[in-house]
Amino acid sequence: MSEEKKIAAAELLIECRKLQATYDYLPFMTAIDYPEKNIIELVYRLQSTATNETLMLKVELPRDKAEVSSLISVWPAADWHEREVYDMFGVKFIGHPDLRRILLPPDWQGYPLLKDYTDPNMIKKPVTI
Amino acid sequence: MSELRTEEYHLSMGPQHPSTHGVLRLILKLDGEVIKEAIPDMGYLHRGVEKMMENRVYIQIIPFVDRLDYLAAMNNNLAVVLPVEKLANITPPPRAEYIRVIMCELNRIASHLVWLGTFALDLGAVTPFLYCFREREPIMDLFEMAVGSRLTYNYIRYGGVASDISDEFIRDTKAFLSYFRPRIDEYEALLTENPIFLQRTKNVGIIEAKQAVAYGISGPMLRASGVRRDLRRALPYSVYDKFTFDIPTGTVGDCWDRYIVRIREMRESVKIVEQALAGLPAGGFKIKVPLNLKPLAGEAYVPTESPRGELGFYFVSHGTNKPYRMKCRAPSFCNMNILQEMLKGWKIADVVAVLGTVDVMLGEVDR
Amino acid sequence: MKQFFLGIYNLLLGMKVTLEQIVKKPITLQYPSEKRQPYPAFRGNLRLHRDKCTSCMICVNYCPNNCIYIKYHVGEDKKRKLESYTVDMGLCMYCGICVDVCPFSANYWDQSYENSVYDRKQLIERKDI
Repeated sequence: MSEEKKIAAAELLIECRKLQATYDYLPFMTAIDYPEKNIIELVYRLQSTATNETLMLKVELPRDKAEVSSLISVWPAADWHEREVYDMFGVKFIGHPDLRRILLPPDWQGYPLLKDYTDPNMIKKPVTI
Repeated sequence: MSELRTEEYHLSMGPQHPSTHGVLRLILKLDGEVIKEAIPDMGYLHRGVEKMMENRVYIQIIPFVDRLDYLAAMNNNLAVVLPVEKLANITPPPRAEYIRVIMCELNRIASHLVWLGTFALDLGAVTPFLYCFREREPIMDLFEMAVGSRLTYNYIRYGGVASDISDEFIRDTKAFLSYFRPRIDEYEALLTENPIFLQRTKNVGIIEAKQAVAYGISGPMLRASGVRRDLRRALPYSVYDKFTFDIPTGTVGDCWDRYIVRIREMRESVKIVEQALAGLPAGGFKIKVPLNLKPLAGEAYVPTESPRGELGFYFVSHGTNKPYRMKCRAPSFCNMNILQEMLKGWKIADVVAVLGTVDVMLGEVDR
Repeated sequence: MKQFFLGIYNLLLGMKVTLEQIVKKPITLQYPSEKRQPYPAFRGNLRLHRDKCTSCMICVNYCPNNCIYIKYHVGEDKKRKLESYTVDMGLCMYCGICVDVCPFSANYWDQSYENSVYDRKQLIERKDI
């Protein structure tokens, strides 16, 4: 059904320009944080509206220098998704015209979806299974 | 005489404007009454659901996703249950699948009714609002009978549904459907050819098909632009491949097309519920699933067609009883991306019409 | 001109719908004087059969918001004796998980729906009395 493909961060933009001919639709992109491996993994789901072929594109970024080129020129749909990933994970998208926080207030400190994020106001769940 | 000084006017529409349906703020940069730039500003309803889910076991996830798209909670339930079932290799019994389809389609009708009522209200027609809420009430009653709750259900569970539906429910649903069919004609008589309504919606806020695909638009908005893509047909989930229904599409991609697509979708939903009720198999409604569910390690994403578009939850499991990462692909979030492009060059009064047809659900946008 | 009459016709068509409505019976309930009976499955207020509860704490563990508090002591026969069962209805999501997971069917819903109070503190109540 859906294929998986791993590519290097440096080749992302060039590779995606080629892929755009087949996969014209970007339903979503997101990131996953792996602190023990010291990487942030970006996941792009690409789809073709004509044939429904699906490709899960994965890019691994180093956690301390999470930078990747923005795909907004290839799929305009990436705009807000990239802003959300920047908001929650702190990944910088080079070439994004308007990289601001989208859901959190502009003066927020830290990136909440990182696994090691802590906040003084965070309440720990009292009962966990 | 010196020239009059002109400057750009910045207007903040929302977060409490009634037509923004929740807490959306639009920063409009105006030249007279013409919009030069529109910047959506959201996050007022951000609750951090994705972070919360990393600390909760799988069964506790379902009630939280009810609160994302609270007008179509049943569709959200289904969308969150399917990928986890895929990860854990659970196959629900056929009766449960049929009940899920019935509930989701009823919820789609209810959601579209709220949309239609509020959209007409924004454009100045109060009567459809009252009629739509009158017809939504029996659906809520049906849910109350089967589920116990009227808005947030927590009904669709891993391995089936929470409770079986009774004969009384089936009888009442059939009665509702025969009552509801002529009501759609009433809405159409009130709105579809109404000259005032046409003036407000025809050729307003046009999205072309190519642009819609590039911006990742989904659901009725995409179909109104003429792209024949419905996930119930394109990538069938649950038992949707067993039913026959049409996929209504628009031609121009303006506000009126988005209106008529949703109206026709309600008719199709009625058809699906009728077929599902006729073919409802006997048998169990739930298979036994461990309470502390531990799916296999891996990742899963099942796109579903919610009333607003492609809704899916991307799960990354490490084999523990809590998801490592849960990402919600919220249709309104992606559909709103195009808003800044769509609003350019239109007048302030058109913002209400365009925003109404996008059908934003802020609970889902902000998560 | 044809457009004009078509418009008038369509306006009248809409008015016909509203006129038909006038002769129909109203479907609204005059709430405080007329009351609606909820369906038996209705999730109103969370209650406890005190005699059935064994203080096994399953509902406490599985509550998504941790809004159930149970106090118990171990009796002479080494069985847990329930002391108090408190629910913070301000936190409760009415999801019904506690009712579903209870192995002894001790938790149940009643059909009350007039649950609004003047003070938040009144929402934290002992349910076993």
